[in-house]
Amino acid sequence: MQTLEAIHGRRSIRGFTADRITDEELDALVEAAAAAPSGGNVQPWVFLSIREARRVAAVRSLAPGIVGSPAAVIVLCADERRRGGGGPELEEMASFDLGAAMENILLAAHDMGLGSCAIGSFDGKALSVFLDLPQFLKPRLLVAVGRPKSIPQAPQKRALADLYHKERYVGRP
Amino acid sequence: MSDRGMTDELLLTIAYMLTSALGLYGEPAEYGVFRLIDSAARILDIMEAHDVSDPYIAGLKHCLDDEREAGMNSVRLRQSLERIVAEIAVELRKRT
Repeated sequence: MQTLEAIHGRRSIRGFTADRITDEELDALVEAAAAAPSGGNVQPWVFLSIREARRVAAVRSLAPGIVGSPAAVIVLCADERRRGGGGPELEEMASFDLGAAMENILLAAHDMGLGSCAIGSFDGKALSVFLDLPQFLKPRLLVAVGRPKSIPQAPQKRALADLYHKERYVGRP
Repeated sequence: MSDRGMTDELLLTIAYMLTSALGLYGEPAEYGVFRLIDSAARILDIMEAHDVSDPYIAGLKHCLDDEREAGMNSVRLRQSLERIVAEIAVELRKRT
């Protein structure tokens, strides 16, 4: 699959079949995440994959953004040990880095014929308790993964003319 | 499945509903619509898993599954909800 084809063809999948995904597939998704660029190559992340059905169900209950029953969930955590003493700016940068890692997972899943959905609605504190995470790991994003039940139509996107300017911003007041 | 199984599944749904309630303090109000639909669908999932469903409820579950998987088109969703609630009212009238 070509990169642009993957970018434009990917959909957020919220309906999954009951089929499981393999450890190898999950590993490949996390490898793709870890290949993402990061500011200063800090790689401020730790990834946690959850595939055991009972644990996925528990994560779903603490993450209202997960719709349907995915076969697995990948938790993307900011690793505060890798901030190197930096302040809020680096914390914000870590969020951008994790966003890039998340996009890599979504595109890799699409390329592998899997369905995925980025999840921002979850209770980070509750999830940290359930997953027994150390203090320095903060869950920032989740990705629900599984085999798609169906592929939804492309959602409507804003017109490029509304959001893209050349040389100078020409905005409406 | 044992009662313990059903209790555990209901506890997960209760956790989901309370986590949703907490999250909605900081999320768009519209998300509340999806959380309520998902809550209803989760309860129907449990009913189905424990053989307490009937043909009408099976159909309702199918409808809600379609809605929650279709994404966030609020206009279409509202129309679907209006239809589903009107159908439920007819079903309730039949049953009472």
